This record gives sequence, structure tokens and C-alpha cells, in this order.
Amino acid sequence: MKKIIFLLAFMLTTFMGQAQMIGINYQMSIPFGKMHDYISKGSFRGANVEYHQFIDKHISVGGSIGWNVFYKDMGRYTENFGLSGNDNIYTFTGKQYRYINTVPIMLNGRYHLYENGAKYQPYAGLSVGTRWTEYETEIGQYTASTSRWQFAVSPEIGIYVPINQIIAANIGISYNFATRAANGRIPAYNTLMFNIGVLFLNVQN
Amino acid sequence: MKRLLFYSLASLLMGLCIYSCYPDGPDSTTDYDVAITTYDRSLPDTFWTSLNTFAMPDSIVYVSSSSSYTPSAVYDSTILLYVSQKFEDVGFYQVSDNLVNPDFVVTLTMNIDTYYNWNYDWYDYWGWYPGWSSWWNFNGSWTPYWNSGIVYAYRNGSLIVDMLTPVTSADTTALSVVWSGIADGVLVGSESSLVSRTESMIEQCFEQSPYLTK
Repeated sequence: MKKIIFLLAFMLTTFMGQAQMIGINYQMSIPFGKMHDYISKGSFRGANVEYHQFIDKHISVGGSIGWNVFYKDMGRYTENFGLSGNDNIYTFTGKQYRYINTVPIMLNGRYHLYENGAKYQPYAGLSVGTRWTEYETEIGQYTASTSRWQFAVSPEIGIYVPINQIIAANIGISYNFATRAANGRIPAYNTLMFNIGVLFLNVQN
Repeated sequence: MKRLLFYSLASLLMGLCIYSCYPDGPDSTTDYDVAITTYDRSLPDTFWTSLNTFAMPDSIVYVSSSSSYTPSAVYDSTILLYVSQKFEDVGFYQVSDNLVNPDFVVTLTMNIDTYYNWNYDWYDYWGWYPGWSSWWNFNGSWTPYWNSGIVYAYRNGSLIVDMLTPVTSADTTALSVVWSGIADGVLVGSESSLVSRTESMIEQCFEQSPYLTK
């Protein structure tokens, strides 16, 4: 642990002279696969905070943490459930609400097409990390909820346009995948996500 | 330092924004109404069609450890009538005298509580049902059971309609709960609204049990 902290501190001080970026993004997601089977509606509730440290004129490394919420009002709906404590199968009919909450914590690497100072800056990146995902079904006063950590990968492309020395507008799209967990009760994570946000630049030309 | 302050404020604002647009859940009492059914899946389809007659006590048993709230007798009689009518609609015949042993007995239990873990030990309270012992020459040594122990987590009001049948084999005589229909909801509102909500949940219980047929 000490070694890791030392290494991180070393990296930070080494690259402190280089440019950095902090970003805040609003995110919209379209679910696919079994996620879509559970909640077919797109998510308009999402955001993340990201940090990028340039280690080269074209390459940055960093990380991000986010939060995305998927929600669907199923209306009056009939579904079978098991209750803890016995093996019977119960058929529940009532107003059903479904939620997916996910918190991705990712390490990120990006390749920036142009050097700092360009009028616009296209980039491509890859994030690897984990996401905590919770599936929750509410019927009446009953709640069925499962949450797990998933291994997550997200390739992305985007472009940001500096408005002045400090602020840039960012727009990007990413495909997000995470492995299934809890024997499939948390299915594989599959979304196409749109990012719109602001980047705060700390560029030393 | 100014920049740090700016970032902190921006993050805080974003957090508030996300929190405020978090999706809603139920917003009226009836949104909590749930109809729940379960049945003994080990029984063959022919079991249900083999049943003909049933008997029903003329009262609802109230189980509550913390609440003194009980609906009036009007609620009881309306609901009892409704439930027996539903079973007759399926094609079963209600027998009211003790001359015939019914194929099954229907019991109505209202559980009122905030949180209550319950298993079928409550059948120790069998004595509550008047005339109970006359069905199937009940002698006290029979114990009702589900295949497995059952634990519910009920809240507020649950009206449980149980179908019980006698099981006789070489080494056991028991009463088996073969079907349960549960009307689960929040016990607020006028009595007439409570009656109509209970009825529509019971209706749904029968609707989602297509195997209950003649």
C-alpha cells in the first residue's frame, strides 16, 4: 500500500508540470441486452466527475466516478417471486417500479489527436474499473433488491472545444460493458452513453 | 484556492441536481395494494378439479400484536360473502352444515401489524374457529402445514385467504394449506374504500390462479 501511495505521489509530482483537466458531465444512457429486458427506458439521470493528467503531449491518464439511474414505472404488473425463509413461489400483482443504480469507478487512458492549444480536440479513450450496480424492484411495500460490484470496461470517443484558457465544452459517446454478477441476478451491463459536459483546463503552454 | 472553491461548489450543485431528479415511487395509498398468491406446486392439475365442496367459518380472525385497529363487522360480513361467492363462481359448493365433510376449508385471517414475522405456528389458535372440530372429525392431533416452514414479513394490513385440505397417508394426518391468496395493503381510508380495495385484490388473486377451476 505504501509503495502504491509513493508511486502515485511520484507520478503526480513528476507530471505536475504537465497539463491537467477536471470535467463534469451530464450523461444519458441507452440500455441493451438483459438490462433492456429489465428496464427498456433510457436513462436521463446520470453524471460523472473525471480527472485527466497529461503524461505526454497526446496521452492522458486519469479516473472518473459517476452515477447513473435507470427507472421504469411498470404500472400494474404480475411477476413471480421467492420470499426469504421458504421455497414457495409467490405471484405478486401490483404497481411495480424498477430501478437500476450504478456507480462506476474507472481508471482512464486517453489519446488526444492534437497538442494542447488546438481549436478543438478529438480524443479516444479506454476506461477500466469497477461499477457497483443495484437492481431494485418495488411492489407495494415489498422490495426485491440485489447489488454487486461488476468488472467494467468502457471505450469512448469524443471531442472538446476550449472556449477560453480555462473552460472547454466536452461531448462524447461511450460504450459501457460490465460482467454479470450474482449468478445473473445482476446481468451484464450494456449501455451506449452520451456525455455532455464542461472541462476545466490547467494548461501550461 | 478560488478554483478549488469553484470546483467544490460545482460538485455540490451537481449533487443537489441529481438528488432532486431522482425518480419517484408510489404516491397514493392504492399504489401499495398488492395481490399475492401461492399454491402447492407439487399437486397435479387434476387435484384442483377433483375438489367440489368447501366450508367457511363465519368470521375473520384478527392477528395483531401491536395495533388495536380492526374494521367493523360490516367489513367482515361483506368480505366473507365476497370470498365465498368467488369460490362458488369457480364452481365449488359451499356446505354449511356438518353433515358433509367438505373437500376443503377456507379460512380468512387479517394480520395487522407494522412488521411481523409469522410462520404457520399460528394455527395453534385453531380454537378460534367456531365449530372447527366438526369438520373431518378434527381431533386435535392433526396439524396444518406447508411443505416448508413459511416466514412472511407483513406490514400493515394483509387479509389472507387460505385453502386447507386434509392429507391422510400411512403415517400422517394433517391439514395442508394448498392455496393462499393475500390482499396486502395500507390500512387507511374509509371503510367502503377498504372494502372495495380488498375485493379488487381478492378478485386479482383468483384471476392470477387459473388452475383454480372446475
